[in-house]
Amino acid sequence: MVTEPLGRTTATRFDVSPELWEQLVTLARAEKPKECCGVGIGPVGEVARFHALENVHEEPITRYEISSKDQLRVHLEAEDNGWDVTLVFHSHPATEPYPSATDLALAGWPDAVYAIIGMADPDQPLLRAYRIVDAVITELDVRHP
Amino acid sequence: MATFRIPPVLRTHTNEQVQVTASGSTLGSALEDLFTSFPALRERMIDEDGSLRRFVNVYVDDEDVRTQQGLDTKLDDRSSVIVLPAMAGGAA
Repeated sequence: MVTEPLGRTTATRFDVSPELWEQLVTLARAEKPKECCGVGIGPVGEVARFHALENVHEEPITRYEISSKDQLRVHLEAEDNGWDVTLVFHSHPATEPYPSATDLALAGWPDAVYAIIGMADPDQPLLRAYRIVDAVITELDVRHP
Repeated sequence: MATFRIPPVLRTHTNEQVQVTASGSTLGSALEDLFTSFPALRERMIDEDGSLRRFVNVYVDDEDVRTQQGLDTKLDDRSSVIVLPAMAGGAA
């Protein structure tokens, strides 16, 4: 069990592998018009595994929430591997992929990349990524296939 | 002493400690003990009504306390408490 902080990444880039890109886009398309959501875990700054998770919010067109049960399951899987949560992902089905006031207020994972995919045009998914620390947004340079 | 696992976002309030211990026979009393050592944690975890904040998930022995007795959930010396900020947000 990890008893020391895993450390913070200061990476300014978010490199998306072809496999992860495919997972993110497929999930966002499948869930539209609802927001989709998922979590990536891995060593600091790396998404070794991505889990598409159910959006349990009662207003899924404009909000997302991951169930506490799914969250614990993914957290324990990360801990078992000596990993941490490295990616918190959701879609904005009809709007720009920029963090909303809600996204900012609820961003509780300062060490993770917050990635949002804009699906206003499903044929042209627009992925942007941020680090959100104390409600301060830093946009990352996203590289994807 | 129950063991609390502290998530990254709250570690600034626990001197960067990942794991801390607290005494109490219930989650609520153990949290009070924890807040004595780390007072800034209170506002992050407890709302104005004295309830757990809506977007903080707390698990005792891997069970969400909202499906148990909330702050009255019983603890013993072997209890393991995990605190996770909810993952939520959205366009609206």
